Amino acid sequence: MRFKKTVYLFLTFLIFTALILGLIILTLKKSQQLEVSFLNVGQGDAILIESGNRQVLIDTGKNGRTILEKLGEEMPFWDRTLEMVIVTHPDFDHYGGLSEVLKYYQVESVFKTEAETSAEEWQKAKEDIEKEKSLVLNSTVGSELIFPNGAKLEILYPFSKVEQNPEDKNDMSIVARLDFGKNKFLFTGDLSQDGEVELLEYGANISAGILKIGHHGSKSSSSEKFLEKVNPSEAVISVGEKNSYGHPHSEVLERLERNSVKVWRTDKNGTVKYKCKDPEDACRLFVN
Amino acid sequence: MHPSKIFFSFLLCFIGGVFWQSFWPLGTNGLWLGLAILSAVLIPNYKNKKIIFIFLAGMFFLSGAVRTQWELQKVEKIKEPTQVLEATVKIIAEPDKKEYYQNLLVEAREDEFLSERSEKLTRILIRAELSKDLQYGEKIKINCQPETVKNSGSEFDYKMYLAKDEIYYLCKKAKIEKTNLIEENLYFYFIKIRKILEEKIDQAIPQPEASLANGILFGGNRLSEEKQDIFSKTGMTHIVAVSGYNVTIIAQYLMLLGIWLGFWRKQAFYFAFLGIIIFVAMIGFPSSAVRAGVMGLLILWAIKNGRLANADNALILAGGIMLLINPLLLRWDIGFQLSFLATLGLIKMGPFWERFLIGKPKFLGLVEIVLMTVSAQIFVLPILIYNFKLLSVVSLLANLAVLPIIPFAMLLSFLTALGGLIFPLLGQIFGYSAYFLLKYVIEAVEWMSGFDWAFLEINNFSVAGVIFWYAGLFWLVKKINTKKDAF
Repeated sequence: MRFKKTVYLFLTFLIFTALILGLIILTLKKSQQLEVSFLNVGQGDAILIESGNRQVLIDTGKNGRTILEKLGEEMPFWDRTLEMVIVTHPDFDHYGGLSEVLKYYQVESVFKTEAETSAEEWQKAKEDIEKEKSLVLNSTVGSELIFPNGAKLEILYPFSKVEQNPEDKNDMSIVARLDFGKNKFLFTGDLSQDGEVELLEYGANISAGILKIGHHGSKSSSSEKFLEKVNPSEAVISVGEKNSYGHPHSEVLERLERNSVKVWRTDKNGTVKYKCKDPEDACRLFVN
Repeated sequence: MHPSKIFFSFLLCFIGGVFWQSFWPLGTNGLWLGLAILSAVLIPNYKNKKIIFIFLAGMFFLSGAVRTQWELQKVEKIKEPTQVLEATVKIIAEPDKKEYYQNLLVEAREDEFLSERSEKLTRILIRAELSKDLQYGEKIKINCQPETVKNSGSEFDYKMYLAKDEIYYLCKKAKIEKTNLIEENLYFYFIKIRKILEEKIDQAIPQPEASLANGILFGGNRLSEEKQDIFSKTGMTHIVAVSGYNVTIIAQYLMLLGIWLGFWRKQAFYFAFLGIIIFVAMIGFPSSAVRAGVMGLLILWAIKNGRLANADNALILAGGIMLLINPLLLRWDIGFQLSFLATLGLIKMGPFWERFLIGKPKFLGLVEIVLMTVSAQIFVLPILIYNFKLLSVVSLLANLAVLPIIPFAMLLSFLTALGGLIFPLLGQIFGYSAYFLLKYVIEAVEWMSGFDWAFLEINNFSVAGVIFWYAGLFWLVKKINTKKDAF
C-alpha cells in the first residue's frame, strides 16, 4: 500500500516536471516567432509586441483592470516582466493603465517623449515610474530596439524635443515601425495630419503593410497623402464600442476603403493579433 | 398551538407589516386607524384566546409597518444642502473602486453643509479619482457641493438604493486632499490583513485569474466590466460576490481545520462560527457580507444537525432581526431578497431532494449540485428577471461545470496568499496550481457566455409575473413536502 502511494507520488511529480519542461520548450520555440497584438482595451491604445519571453508594450489603455487582464491573457503565466513600455504621449487613454502595470509587472524600461501635461494622473504615473526604478529613456528618432529573432522596432517621430508647445501632446506622439523580414507594422499613436506632413516632408521610411490608424480613426489623422505613402494592405483601429468621440470617423473609413485597405477594429473584432513565424512569410491574422 | 409556532407566526406578521408598508405605505392616520380597529376588536372579547392571538398578530403587523414608516420618514425629511462642504471628514467604508472612479463614503457634521445647528454626523457618498490612494479610516480634507440623491430615470430607484444604507447626500465632484491621518481601530486591522492577502494573490497569479481568486475568497467586484458581464450572462455572479455559498464553503473548511486541530465536532462548529465573524470583519462588515455570513452559517448549522427541513424558523428569525434593524432592505436591497430566497429554496427543496437521492447514483456529488442549484435558482429567478431583465439559460450548465471546482480553487487561492506571506516562492507554487483551476473557470464561463442561446433578454416581466411565480412555488413546496413517501 505504502509502496503504491510512492509510485503515484513519483508519477505525479514526473508528469508535473514534464509539463513545466514542455511549456518552457514551447516558449523557447515560440521565441523565434513574433506576435503583435492590438489589445481590446476599449477606447484607448495598447499594443503588445511579443517575441518569446520578451515583451514590449506600446501604451496601456486607460484602465488598469483591463490592461492587466489583457496582459494576463497574452503573456505566459509565469512571466511578470515587460522588457519595455512605450508611452507614445501623455494622454489618459494611452497611459491610464500604466500605474497598475508598474505595480504588478517588473518594467525594465520606459520609453517616452518629453511631452508633458499637468494632469494629476500623469504626475502620479511619473512618480510610479520613478519608484519602479525602470530605465527611463526619452524618445530620439533613429533609436532601434532589436529582438533576438531579428525583428527591429525603429523610432521615426517626434523629431523635435519640446521646443514648441509641450501641451500639444498628440503631435508629440511616438511613431515607430516594426520590421520582421518582409512584414512591416507602423504604430502612430495619436499623430495628427500636421505630424503626418512633417513625417512625409522629412522623407521618413513609413511604408508598412499593417498600419495602426492614428488617433483611433479621428478625421484629423490619416490624411490621403499619408495613406498613399504608407500604402498598407491592412489597418487596425484601436477604439471603444459606442465611444463618445464618434471614433472612427466615417471619412477615415471611406479613405481607407478607397485605398482598398482591409480594416480591423478592436471594438468589433476584439483583440487583433498577428502571428509571424517566418520573416519571409506573411504574418497570420487572428481575430474573433 | 406550540409556543414556538405562535412566535414564528408573529414574526411573519412583523415581516408582513414591513412588506405592506414598503409597497403600499399607510400614512400616520392609517396606522392609528389600524390600532383603533384592533383595539375595538379586542376590548369586547378580551377573554377569547383566538381574538387575543389575532390582536397580537395585528400588533406585530402594525409594528412592522411603523418601523418601516419611521425609516421612510427619515428619507422624506431630507433637507437640501445650503452650503459648500469644506471640512476634514473620515472615510467610514472601504473605498469602492470602479473601473474609472472610486466611491468614498464619509461622515460629515450636518451643520457643515446644512443651514442647521446640528452636530449630527451624516453620510455623504463622494465620487473621487481612481488615482487617489485612500483607505478605510483615513481622514481627508474635502471641498464639494453636496446634493440630495435624485433618480435620473424611472428604471432604477437610486435614491432608495442609497437611502437603505442611510446615504442621502452625494458629491459628484470633490476636491480631495490627504491629511495622512488614519484612525486605526480593530476593524482597520482586519481590513488591512485582508488587503495584504489579496496583494499576495495579485502578485502570484496573473489577471484576470487573480481577481477571480480574490472575488471567490473575499467578494467585491475586481474584474473588469467585460469580465463581470460574462459572469452575469452565465448566471455565475454569485461566486464572485460574497454570498451564503462562499461562506458555507469557508465554514466547512474551518470545521475541517477545527477537527484536524483536535476540536470535537461541536466545538469545531463554534470555531467555524468565530472564523466567519472574523471573515466578515475582514471584508469590512458590508451588509451583504453580514447577511451572507448569517445565511451561510444557518445552512451549515441546519445540515450538521440534520434539521434542514426545520431551518425555516431560523431563517425567518434571521430575516426578522435584519428587518427590525433595517426594514428598508426588504424592498430596496436586491441582495437581501436574493440571499433570503435562495436560502429558503435550499431549505424547502433540499429535504425533498435528499429523500429523492436515497439509493440513487450520485455521480461524485454532481447530482446534488444540480439539484441544489435548481432549488436556489427557481426561488430567485423572478427577482433576477424582474430586476436585471436577463434570463441566463446556460446558468445551470455553467454552475455544473464550475461549482465542483470552486472549493478547491478557494483553498488553493487561500494557500497562495498564506504561502506568499511566509515565502514568495511557496505562494508562487500554490499560485500556479490555483491558476489552472481559475483559468478553467474563466475559460468555461467565457465560452458559455458566447453561445447564441446563453441568455435571453426579458423586458416585460411584470410584478404580476413575480407574484404568480411565487404562488406557484408555494403550491409546489406544499405538495412535495406533504407527500413524504413520493419516492
